[in-house]
Amino acid sequence: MSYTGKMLRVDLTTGTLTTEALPMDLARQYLGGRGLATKLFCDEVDPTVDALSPDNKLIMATGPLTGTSAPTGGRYMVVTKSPLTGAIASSNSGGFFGSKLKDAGFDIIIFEGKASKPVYLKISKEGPNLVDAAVVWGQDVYETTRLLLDEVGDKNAKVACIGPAGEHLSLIASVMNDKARAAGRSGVGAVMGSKNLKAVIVSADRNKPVVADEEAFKAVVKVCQAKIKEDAVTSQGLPTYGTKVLDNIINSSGMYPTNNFQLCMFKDVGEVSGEALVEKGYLKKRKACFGCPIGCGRDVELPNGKKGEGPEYESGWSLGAACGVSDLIAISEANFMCNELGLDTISAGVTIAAAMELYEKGFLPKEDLEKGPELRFGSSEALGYYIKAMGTNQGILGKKMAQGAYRLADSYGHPELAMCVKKQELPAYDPRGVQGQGLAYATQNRGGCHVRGYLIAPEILAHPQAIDPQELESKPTWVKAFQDLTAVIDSCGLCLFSSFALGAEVYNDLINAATGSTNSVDDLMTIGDRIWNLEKLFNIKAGLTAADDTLPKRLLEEPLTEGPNKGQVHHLDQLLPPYYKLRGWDTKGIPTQEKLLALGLG
Amino acid sequence: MIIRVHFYAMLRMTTGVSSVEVETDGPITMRQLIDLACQKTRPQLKGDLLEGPQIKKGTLLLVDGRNVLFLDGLDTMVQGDQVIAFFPPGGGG
Ligand code: SF4
Repeated sequence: MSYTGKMLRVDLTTGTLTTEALPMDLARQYLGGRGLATKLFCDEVDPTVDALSPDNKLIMATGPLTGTSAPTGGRYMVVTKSPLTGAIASSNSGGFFGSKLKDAGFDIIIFEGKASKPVYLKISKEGPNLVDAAVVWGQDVYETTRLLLDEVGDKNAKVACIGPAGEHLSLIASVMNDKARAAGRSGVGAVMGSKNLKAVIVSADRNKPVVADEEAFKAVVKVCQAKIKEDAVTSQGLPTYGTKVLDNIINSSGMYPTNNFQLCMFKDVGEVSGEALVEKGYLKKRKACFGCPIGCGRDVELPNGKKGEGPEYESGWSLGAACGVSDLIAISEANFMCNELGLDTISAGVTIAAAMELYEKGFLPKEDLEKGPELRFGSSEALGYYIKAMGTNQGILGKKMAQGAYRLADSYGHPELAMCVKKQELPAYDPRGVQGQGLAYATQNRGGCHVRGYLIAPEILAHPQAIDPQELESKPTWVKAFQDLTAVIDSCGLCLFSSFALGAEVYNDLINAATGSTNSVDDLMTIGDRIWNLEKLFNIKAGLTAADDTLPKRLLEEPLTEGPNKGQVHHLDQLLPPYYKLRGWDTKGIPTQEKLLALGLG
Repeated sequence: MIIRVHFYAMLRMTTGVSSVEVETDGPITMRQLIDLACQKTRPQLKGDLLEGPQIKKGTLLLVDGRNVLFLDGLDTMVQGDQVIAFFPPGGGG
């Protein structure tokens, strides 16, 4: 049935490990991954819990397609309550860790409580056990991974861990796996750190999940492979240039946020774009996650000999144009450093950008820099210095920046300079140029995020069809459909990028053949809707309100000053009411009883 | 008048240049511009951008940052003081 049928519960307080049966009735309603983990989490955790207390839990969850031969089936999710946003967190990652976890016989791991001293979870052929992590505590992500692989003596084992940022409870710390793959957002790494849980290492032989209907599954996989090969994005754009193929597109479209969203076009984009990474010869080869024919990952070597992965589009932008930095080497090094420290690249870059604006406007006093360089837009020296400071929690500013852009800007009396939604830093598209994407940003259950409703696809990339980025009427419908479908993709264990080539019908065929379900496409979209509403309910109980479904004031009130969208602001006031209505929510953004009953959440 | 066309991503690889200049007597349509750019680079460029009479799915022809699909399509008039950019289908996030 493509599930292993087992989940592992790890009580870190007592050191007790228990294997439990996967609740199949819930798996039918929530699939797995993001959906099922959120359901289990909501059933077990009080939404008002302090996210960094032992009462919070952290779930690592694969989906029914993780580890199968479905293309891009290497994904897993980290679900918890976010210490950054106070909302539900669910961060997705690729690489090989997720499929390895299934090889080891577990769909899900639930961590609860807090260990009295740093530990890591080792899952090997002898079974799971908790091990003293003294040898790796304090080490960066790469070194931790290396030491643990040595320790278990299996170079094919897979490691998910936190770096110094997570140990220091930075609210923008990520969980890293396979060294450079990140469950990056919402501070999930801090929750691991708060539990004294440094890492999970899984050593297991390949144990391919058994699908319900092997013949049917094989046939749909073949269809998927053909579609991925046919589609120009998945067969050419992403493999050749990676996600950084977007730099020039988004800049030309006048929505490439520069200098903390003060500008929307970056004059030096040609120096830092995906094309530049290739033409300067830094890109050595592409890299793929488990079972992925697309291979959008970048193996990079810089002229100074430093090697690493990326930067991806988002990271290259946040550590580049957002901070006005046009030195591709400095940007790439900053990206490597974030991966080593276990810091979310989007949040780290946007936090530095906020610090730069605070400093340049005189709100952040010079004495707070201590010995650090001046926080000027364009300073690659400041970029490197403050990433290290925030990742290791050093100095006045390092400590403040480790809490993310909102808390930093608020501490200087100017929260409006934090480009955040629900206190989480915004990604690389100025919503004044893309109205649908802005609505998706404002309504994200996990705060500022672009992947849970990637409206850039139709609004800018003309994929699957072109819709006018400034048109308003159709946007709530598009946003809801994209949000619901993404919830499905995140829950089944595939990569969102597969959706450039695949549609809801194919996902449904894959899931049905793998799990033995007989869902229609409408049923599948209802599952997505159910997951979205469940997350929303958690947030409401955690204290979030309609006032949190908003964008930074700058994006709502300050018109763009250049480019094709000159004069535009974001029209959230016109988009939010019809979106709430379409969702079946009242005017305060609360799901109606009728809606909840229809979704089985009443 | 000189109109400069900028190429990105795979189009840079296939044409071997990052931009090309074409000379015209005045404003021309996007369709005419593609023909002239083909003559200056390679004949296959047209097939890279168009599928019969239509712009290929995901291909972006931008005039001052605006997709011609939201202007007059291939009949959109272009001239020398505009920034013209051609992108093959791209994606990411
Ligand atoms: S498309 Fe990229 S991120 Fe997605 S699975 Fe493939 S290599 Fe990983």
